[in-house]
Amino acid sequence: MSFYIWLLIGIFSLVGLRGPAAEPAPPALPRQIIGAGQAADITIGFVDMPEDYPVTFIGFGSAGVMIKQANIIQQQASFSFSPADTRYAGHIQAQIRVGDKVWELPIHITALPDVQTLLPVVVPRSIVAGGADYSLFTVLATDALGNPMANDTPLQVLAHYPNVITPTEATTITIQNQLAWLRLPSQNNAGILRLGVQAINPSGSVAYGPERLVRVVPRKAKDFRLSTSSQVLLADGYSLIEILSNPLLDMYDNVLLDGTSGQAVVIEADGTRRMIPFQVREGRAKFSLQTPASAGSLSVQAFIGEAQSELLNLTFAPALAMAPFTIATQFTANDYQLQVTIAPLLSYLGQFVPDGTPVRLWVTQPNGTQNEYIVPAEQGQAVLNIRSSTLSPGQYQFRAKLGGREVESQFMLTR
Amino acid sequence: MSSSSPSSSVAAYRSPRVIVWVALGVVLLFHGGLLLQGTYRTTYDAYVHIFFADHWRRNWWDPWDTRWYTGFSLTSYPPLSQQLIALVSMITGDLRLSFVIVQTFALFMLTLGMFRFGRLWTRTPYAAAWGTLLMITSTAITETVHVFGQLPTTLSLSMLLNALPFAHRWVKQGGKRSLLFAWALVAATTGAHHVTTLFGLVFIIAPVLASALLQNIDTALPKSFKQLRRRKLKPILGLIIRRARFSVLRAGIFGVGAGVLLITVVLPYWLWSRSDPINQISIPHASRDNFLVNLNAGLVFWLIPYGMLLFALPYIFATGYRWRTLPLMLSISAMILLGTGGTTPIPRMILGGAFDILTLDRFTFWAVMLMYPLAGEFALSLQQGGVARKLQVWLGVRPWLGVQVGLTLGILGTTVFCASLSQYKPMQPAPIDPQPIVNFLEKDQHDRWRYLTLGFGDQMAWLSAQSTAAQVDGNYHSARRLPELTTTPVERLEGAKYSGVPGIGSLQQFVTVPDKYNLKFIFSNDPFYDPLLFFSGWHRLQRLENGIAVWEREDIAPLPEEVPRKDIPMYQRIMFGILPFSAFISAMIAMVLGRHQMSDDKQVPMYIPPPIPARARTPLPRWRQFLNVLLIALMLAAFGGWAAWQWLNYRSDPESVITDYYQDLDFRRFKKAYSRLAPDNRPEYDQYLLNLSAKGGLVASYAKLSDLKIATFQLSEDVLDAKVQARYITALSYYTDTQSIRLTRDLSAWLPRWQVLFPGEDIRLPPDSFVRKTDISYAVQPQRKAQLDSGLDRPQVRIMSSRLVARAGIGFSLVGELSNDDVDPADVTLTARLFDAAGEQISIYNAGSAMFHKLLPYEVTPFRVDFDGVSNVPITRPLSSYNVFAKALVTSRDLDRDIGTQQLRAMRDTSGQWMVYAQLINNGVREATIPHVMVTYYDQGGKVAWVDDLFVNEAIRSQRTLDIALPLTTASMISSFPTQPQWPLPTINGTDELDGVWLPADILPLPAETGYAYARVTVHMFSGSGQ
Repeated sequence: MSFYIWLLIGIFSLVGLRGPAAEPAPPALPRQIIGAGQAADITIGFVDMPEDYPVTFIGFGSAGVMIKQANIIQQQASFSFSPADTRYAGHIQAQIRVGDKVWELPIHITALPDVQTLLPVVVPRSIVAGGADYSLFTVLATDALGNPMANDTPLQVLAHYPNVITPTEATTITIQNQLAWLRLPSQNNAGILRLGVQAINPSGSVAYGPERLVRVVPRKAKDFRLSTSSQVLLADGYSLIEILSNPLLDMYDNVLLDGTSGQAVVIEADGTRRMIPFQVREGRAKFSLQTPASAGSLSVQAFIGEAQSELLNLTFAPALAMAPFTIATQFTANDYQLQVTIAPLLSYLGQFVPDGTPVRLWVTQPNGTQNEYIVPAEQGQAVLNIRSSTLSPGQYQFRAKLGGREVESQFMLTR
Repeated sequence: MSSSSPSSSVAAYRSPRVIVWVALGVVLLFHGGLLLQGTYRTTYDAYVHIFFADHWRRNWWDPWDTRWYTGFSLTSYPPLSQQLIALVSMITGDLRLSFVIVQTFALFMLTLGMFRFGRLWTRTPYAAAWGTLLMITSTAITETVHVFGQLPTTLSLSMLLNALPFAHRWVKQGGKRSLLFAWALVAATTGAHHVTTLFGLVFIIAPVLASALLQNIDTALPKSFKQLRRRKLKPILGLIIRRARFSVLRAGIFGVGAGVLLITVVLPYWLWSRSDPINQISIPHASRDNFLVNLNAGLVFWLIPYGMLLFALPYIFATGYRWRTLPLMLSISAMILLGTGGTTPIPRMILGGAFDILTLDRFTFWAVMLMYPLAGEFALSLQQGGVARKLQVWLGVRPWLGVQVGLTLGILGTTVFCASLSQYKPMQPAPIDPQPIVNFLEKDQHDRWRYLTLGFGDQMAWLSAQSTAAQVDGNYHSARRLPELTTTPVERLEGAKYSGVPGIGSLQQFVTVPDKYNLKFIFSNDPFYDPLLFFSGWHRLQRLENGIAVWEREDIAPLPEEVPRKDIPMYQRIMFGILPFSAFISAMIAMVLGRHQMSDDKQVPMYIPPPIPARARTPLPRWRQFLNVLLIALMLAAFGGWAAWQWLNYRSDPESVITDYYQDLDFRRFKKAYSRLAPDNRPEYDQYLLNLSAKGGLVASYAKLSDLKIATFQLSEDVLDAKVQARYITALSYYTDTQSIRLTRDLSAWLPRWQVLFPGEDIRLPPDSFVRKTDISYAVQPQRKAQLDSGLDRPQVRIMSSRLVARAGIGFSLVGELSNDDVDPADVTLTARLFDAAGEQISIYNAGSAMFHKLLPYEVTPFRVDFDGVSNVPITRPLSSYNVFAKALVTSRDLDRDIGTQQLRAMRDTSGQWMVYAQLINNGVREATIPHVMVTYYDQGGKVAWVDDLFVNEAIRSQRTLDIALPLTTASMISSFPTQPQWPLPTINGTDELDGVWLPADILPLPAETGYAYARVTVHMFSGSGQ
């Protein structure tokens, strides 16, 4: 038993949890301000405390927990802090523990006076020209130990706007709550806005930071014009013509960025529409238009956002079925098919139309039902095979159309 | 009698052990050799066990694994076999080699066990030895090991078979050592596979105990009915009871102990199954099919397991129902019946609800295993017993020898056939080298996100074992708990296409809402899924050197540092870490210490067949023997003729011919498909291939044939037309393609004709054969340092309008328009939520394929979020409000917008249905493999009323056109739901909603009868390999 008693006494002695002989009076605990990375001593005065009585210092700060112990000597307990202990700036909520009594001791470690590192952050990295949009330029400044700088530390922001010969005069901003920031509105010119930040330290040294770039982009496009380089417009339903716009500019004459999407709307003579998507390339709207199969006019208008082009009217001359063609029908008993041949199909120069040119064919059955077929031309003729098992006896009417020309024919099926 | 008479052949065997040694040699050389060659790599289960082993190797004391199903517990499976692999791998350093070693060891133990088990049922150890040899060379074992890759089954059965002789001895004679040894081996059985113990108690252990009991009371019974009549029943019964009471008591002790071990050894498993019951809906398994309908299932789950044993079945059933083997035969009969799956209704009646959960092939396997001792008796009888005598008498000595040779060759042939089955009928994708994927996952902290594999088959488990990265899928469906998975009959997401629409639907939920699962990467080995991934906003990042395509979804948050997990109590971890392996060690000790107990060779006399009765030794006259042989030859010839007739009949069936042609095309067997065409008019093969490749697109390149409907019209005796409706499944939906095919008859065979199948190649040539076009390209600069934040800009996007609508009979959808107001292309994720009146969230879902996810600057996309079937949970609570928000990152990918629309018009078709007709023209230089058309309908006020979309099933090559028709969704089916957006909307990177009126310029006025005022048609496209 005696062993355990001695063991308990020993443990209590080691951890210093012996109760004081008398109730201690509150010590004087003034707020302590220490420079970051500086060695410091904090001395706490006591009243009526036994000599050698242990005092514990427990500090809770952004760098973690710090524990130190000292004994009361001549009613004072002194705690030494090395530069490593004070490396991190910020507030330390410390406790002084004597026995079961706890007192609070506020300590503030201040950053070094000189700025060492500047980290600018800019968001967004692209803004629209014209002054309505702005980018937020934010700076994190730290001292040589990596501590954020104190409030009111001045910084200088340097900006060079696009298409301006010289940078603008430096703007001074100050750190508040560990950050310094500046709104930078765009100007009218699109291009690269260069930003930088520096700090002129009390010691006379200068801290530099990296440059940041902000892209000032054009506003929405102004209305524009379309044109085509093709001198001869033939309605062959086949070839492509290129439509091109003038350079696309915004209201400040900045050229629109490549990749901007747009949509061209083509309204044909019969009112049907085409929608042709395009992207701005080299500052222009550029897209292909397939020529119509029938002669006539069509209008083209392009849209980029809310901007639109003037109407471009194009007139196409006939280029298909330049000569009359016929519809021939033949029943091929061996193949169980009715063969409908539309020929000859001649184009602009009196030669065969291109292979694959679609010929529209309407077949009206004896009961009045009408079917529409699109038959591709090959070697100047379009051939449609209709399975005879699907045909009932009677009078069949055929109507074929190519370009602006239509031809009709009849066929009597008897079985 | 010839020199090869039965009695003389016996002299060759000094001991049945020689045969057992041969069997062990087969294990080592044949099975071990094949395993070393890597047959397990193409099996179904091997990699799953290897993955589990990898877990135990990494973390023996924690059964929680985060790599599958967002985390699952390995207490969901008995761990012994996998822990053995893990332990061996700690020596070998190679999980796969360790699997081979453990599987070979299991077969080694199975061989010993079968011999010892066989001695319980056979009249001589020679028969048991022959049964062992037959078993180890059987197709059942070969299939289980080299096709199915089952390790727990073989290991647990080997333990159980070794346990049974001890159990038999205990019940028959007593002896604590026997009891302890039997329990030790039963415990190891449970540790390897609890199901073997559970069902084995009824089907395997009970017959053995009953046999011991019967043997004890056998001596009390009168030897004949005459004696029974002469003696009084009461003394006999008394004697029986006296003889049986201790046996019954001992059987009871053993049974109770086995039950306790069954619970104790894998207690964490039982606790898991109780606390976390499997709520997975039934996943179809071919072992439950009707084998007469699904012939492939019959082949795999019935014919192959029985194999050459079928020839012994008559003998087994004729001789098995004797007193000594009666319990065994009853068990075998029951399991044969259960193993027939859905062929008869009886298994379902017996098993009830368990029918839809169990894989019934295990009953066939167990039945076959239990039959091998009796098959050994057949083998012995064929060599030197009654069967041999009968064959010699009926057929003569040479035919008898011929039968033996034939059966031996049959066994070897079927076994080799079975072992190489997966070589010429691949059941898994070609081997994938996982290393490039592992490297990718380890690079740039890619393992901070989850991933998914597609088209990997069971190799996905092997990939998982290579990395600590997590994926949302897994290969052990009993452990999954996500409702998106448990509510669908999909075995694995990676093979979703094999489950049809439910499978695709389940996969769609994951790829549409990947942010929910931190799913960022998909490794695809199957282009079938490409369209779904592309149109759901994924983009292909790269193709790895092993050919695997890596798909990525932008803007997915990484996994948190601490992934949520289920806490498994420490005692369960310790139990799972210690008990099964301890049981195995105990079993091995029992095997070593009990070897003499089981080895009583000295008591076994050399087998000498009973003397042959004089009349039985007289062979039939040679002409009668010849007639018998002739009869058998005729029967074989008749079977051959029947098979030939079947083949000819098939060729004379036009529907079969067409079906095979389509299947050849579906499986890309173009040469074979070409060979089926009528030779007189088919083009050259090169031209044929050119024509096939000319028609690309969704159906031609990314579809799988689902079913065919064929209607034939006979035109003449030798000509017929067929209308073929082919239904294809794609990752997006079903598509039906109708073709007319003409067939002509050549002799008795119908042959499809070329020109009807393919109405000529596409002869439309663009005006310029060499086209040039300037393009806008973007590039995202790589990061200089590995970091999670991509550092990319977030373009400003704007939700222009939104509206919650209900579609009659279908569900709720949110429709609207979104604009990229930035100068950079944007990769957009749009999320919508539904709330009830109390503000509780009812559902959350992202816009999937009904939206353009990659937007050019100033581009406007319609969107539609379909809430029906989200997580397969219907919306039942009344809706009150919704919100919708979008976020975006800059992107450089998938920005092709070269498809224009021409001849755009809305009109009724012949049936009166309103249609939007258009001709698509590809103005770009790349093929639009899958054009995606979206139509936005506006009401009179200019607000979006509905959004339709259509995936065009044909490709459009550069400078070509394609006519499309899109049925217009009837306005009366759409009702605007009286909810308002929930304000304020969450704002993310400046996203906001302006629910005002805006009409784009490129609209098409619609007739008032349609119920809409305007429509806007927009098209984007998937460029296949060009992406």
